[in-house]
Amino acid sequence: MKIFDQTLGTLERALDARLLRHNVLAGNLANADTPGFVPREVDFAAAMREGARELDRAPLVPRAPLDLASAGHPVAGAGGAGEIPLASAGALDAAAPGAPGSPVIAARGAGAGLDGNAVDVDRALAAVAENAIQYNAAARAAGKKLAILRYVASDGAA
Amino acid sequence: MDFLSALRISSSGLAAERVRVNLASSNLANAESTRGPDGKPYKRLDPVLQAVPFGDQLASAAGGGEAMGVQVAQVRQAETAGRRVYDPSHPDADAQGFVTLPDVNPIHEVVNLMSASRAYDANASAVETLKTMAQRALDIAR
Repeated sequence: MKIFDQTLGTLERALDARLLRHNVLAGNLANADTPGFVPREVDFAAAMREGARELDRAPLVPRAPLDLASAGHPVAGAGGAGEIPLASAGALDAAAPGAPGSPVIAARGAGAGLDGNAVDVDRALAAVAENAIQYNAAARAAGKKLAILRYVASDGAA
Repeated sequence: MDFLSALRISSSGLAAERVRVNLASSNLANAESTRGPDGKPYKRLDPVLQAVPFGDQLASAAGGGEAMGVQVAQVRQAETAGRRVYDPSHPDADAQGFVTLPDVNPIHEVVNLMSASRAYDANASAVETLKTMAQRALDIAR
């Protein structure tokens, strides 16, 4: 029987993906007046699938993108309890939106203005607010999960 | 990708918009200045904004750079000759009695001010949102 099931790992990844999305949306807002700027969006499903944010947790030494499959690491669910599967974590040199493998894509919808800038401030703000709600929900769920574990660990005394 | 990087992205936006406000204010204030720092009529100033892949070397080595910060690449000085107005009584009038005034359009500058102020608010709001997210993250372990 597993105490640490997939829930916390999934929630952790959801939080990472939400934080990535906040970064990207904040970048759109910061560039609301940059000529020619193409706003970005996060393909949330892809971000969840990849779990690639692991790489973004600032390694102390710069390193090349990991190639987990060829390095013989367990990939996708092969790990033990609580293991977060890391699918294709390569191809992260994604300076441009829509680079293959990156969950960051060019945002659809708004047309560019005269200066070629396609950032829609209202839409971006709404997306930031929505993303924060989802983040907070995931954070609360993680807290509840830990509270349940605490309850069990204390034999129901807490 | 962490909370601090989001904070730095938003603050780069705040800084850029503040530069825009400063320059628009400067243009408005000097709409009639016939003597700039070089003794010639004031020239309109415009910021040139540039998206910069966000993150330090570490982040880009780890594949960062999907989120973009912003920076003021340069402050461009208008090349236009300026408005020539006939006003022989003006001390800076030329031999024909024309004064060269800056090529500042107050309406243009005010629209710029409003746009910059709105964008500044948007960045500030992103920071505010980030703070609630960070608080929720801290609450996980409580």
